[in-house]
Amino acid sequence: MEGEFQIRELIDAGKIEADEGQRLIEALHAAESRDRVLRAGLAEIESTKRASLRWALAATGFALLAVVTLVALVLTPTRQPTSTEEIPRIAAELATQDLGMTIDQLERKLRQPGTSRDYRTLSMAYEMRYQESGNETDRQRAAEAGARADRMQRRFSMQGRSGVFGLLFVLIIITAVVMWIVLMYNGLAKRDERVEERWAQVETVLQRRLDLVPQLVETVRGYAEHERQTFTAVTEARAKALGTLQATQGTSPRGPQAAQTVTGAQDELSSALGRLLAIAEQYPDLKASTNFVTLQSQLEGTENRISVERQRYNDSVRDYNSKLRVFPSNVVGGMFGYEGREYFESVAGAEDAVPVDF
Amino acid sequence: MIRAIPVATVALAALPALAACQRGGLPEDGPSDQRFVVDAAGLIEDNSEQRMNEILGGVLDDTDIELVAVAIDSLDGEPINDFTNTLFERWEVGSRTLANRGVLLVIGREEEQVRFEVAYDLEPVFTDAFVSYIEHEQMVPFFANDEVGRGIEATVELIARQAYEKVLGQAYDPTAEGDSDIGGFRTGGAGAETAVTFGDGVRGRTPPASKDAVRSHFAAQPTPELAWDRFVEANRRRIKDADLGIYDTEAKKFMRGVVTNAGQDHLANLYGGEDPTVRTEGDRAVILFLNDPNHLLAPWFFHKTHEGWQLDGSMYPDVIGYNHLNQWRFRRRDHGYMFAFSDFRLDENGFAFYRP
Repeated sequence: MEGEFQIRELIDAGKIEADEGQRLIEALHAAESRDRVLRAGLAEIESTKRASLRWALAATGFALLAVVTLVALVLTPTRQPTSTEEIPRIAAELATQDLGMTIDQLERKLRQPGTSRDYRTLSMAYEMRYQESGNETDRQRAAEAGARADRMQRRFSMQGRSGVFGLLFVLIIITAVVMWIVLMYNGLAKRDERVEERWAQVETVLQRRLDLVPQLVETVRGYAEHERQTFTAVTEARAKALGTLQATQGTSPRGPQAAQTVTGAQDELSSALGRLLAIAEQYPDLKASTNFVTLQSQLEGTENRISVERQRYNDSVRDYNSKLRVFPSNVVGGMFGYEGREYFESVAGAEDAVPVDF
Repeated sequence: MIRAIPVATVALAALPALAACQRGGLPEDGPSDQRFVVDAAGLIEDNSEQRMNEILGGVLDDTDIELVAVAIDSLDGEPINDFTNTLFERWEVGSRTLANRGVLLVIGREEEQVRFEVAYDLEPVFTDAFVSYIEHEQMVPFFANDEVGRGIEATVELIARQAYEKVLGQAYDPTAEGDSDIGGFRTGGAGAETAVTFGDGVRGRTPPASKDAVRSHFAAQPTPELAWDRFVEANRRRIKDADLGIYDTEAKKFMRGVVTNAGQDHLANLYGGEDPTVRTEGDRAVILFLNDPNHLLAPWFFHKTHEGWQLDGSMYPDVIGYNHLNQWRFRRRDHGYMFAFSDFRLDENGFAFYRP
């Protein structure tokens, strides 16, 4: 923009051809446009990088949980109830013992609850006695004790498994909670990044206005030399606005106060510019000059760009702040230290500062 | 949850747009592949609308710029800048281009305001200053004369012309694909707005008569070359007096219509630096340009009357026509000036090619 003014001066001074100058100015505009697209692209890449990092973290966490669950499933010892496998051993034992005594002993023992192995042994002992005596009662008893052993075995096997199910259940709950936190966090972080991106756009258009100011001052000065106070006021306001803008541009993330820092100085500049343009009203030659008309339309266009970007920034802040305020994301926000953002309010209203008048 | 975020954002963003679409009876459906003019205010005549749709279709094909014009009854108190910006994003103006080359023109009838909004990608092509100039110097005069349809047409012609010149000057490549947005938006509020008045009571106003010195400077001339020079000069000086001697009766009639600064500037810039060839036969002379590969420099016709050499107004727009890129062509060949084009080849559409 400064460059454009210099080119125009060169044209006015007759140092370069108007056509050539126009071409240079157009090339300048094109370069600026490319620059802006490039910067937007870089911001986008940055945000994509951050987003993919978050998702990579989330995916890693999830994968870890899945592995832990699997390992737990495999490693948890299931309490294997014994009796069925031990049938040959029990049979061998029984063969060496007196059946009647064994049965009596076991019946006594089993007045108290016993193990499935005891019932299995009893069942087999009755069975063997039945084989010998052919007594139907023995056969019945054998069946009863066998059924009891079977039941107990089943129950034991269920008990062994249910420990794993419980663990699994807990792990699933933990996974769900972690996933939920990750999603909440992602939602917040994404909104936070959008606020940052929008703010970068606001800074770009604010900078654009600052770039226009020196040309405007010079152009008005050419027609109204003696209005020095106003020129000084505008130049000082610009310097101050530039200072606050650069102060916020240096920090990343820019923090919730960036908008607040910038606002005051921008408002001062707006009102100083208003006074400068009011001066222009008194000089018809100035108002009619091509340079001034061009600058004025550029300034108006820039004011509108500021208004548009400010609106979009504020929308993104509203979106983010409301998310941060409501349950449950406020819990997650508190966990990760997210703070509310400031709106970019302009007391004067940037777009009202410049009278649109030809 | 993941899906809910963008959906909510879209819904939020659409809210003001939904409110906007009910305003001024704006139709729900925006532009289409054949429709670039949406007239909800009844400001544009039907045949004019049809012509513009054709022109704008051609502009899209040849310069990859989607220009949409909307006339609405009332903005219901919303600033035209906000309205245009919201509508631009809602209608995704420029989505029919390979990149993000959209321009939206909104005309608010009740508020008497016009606004051009220019997409990010077109900011170097249509600068704020250019847009503001077009609005002030082209739209305002036509609208003041209550010729809204013609005014928009004439504006579209200038826009198309600028686009075509930028393509020829390789400011951008209309066949290049590009990103369709920046951070999800197509436009950042570039462009300009201007107050207009629809028919301010000066319809049919006669242009101010010039001073005698000016009248005698621009009298009918002794040679066609001089008449041509004076004609270009009159345009460069934005002289709108219809009764100058360099115009014949027909040309005077034409000059009594709406003549805009933008139109005159355009003519003066276009022909100012060019070196014409003059071919004369009897009372007729043609000012033509042999080096005109893009058909941008139409020939001009002069004839000798009892006053001297004057511009022959009967040739426009009967004989010479322009397409959407402002390229000239012959619409008819049965006229008395064909003698000057014997070394030109005319194709089936009437475009002339110099083939000595």
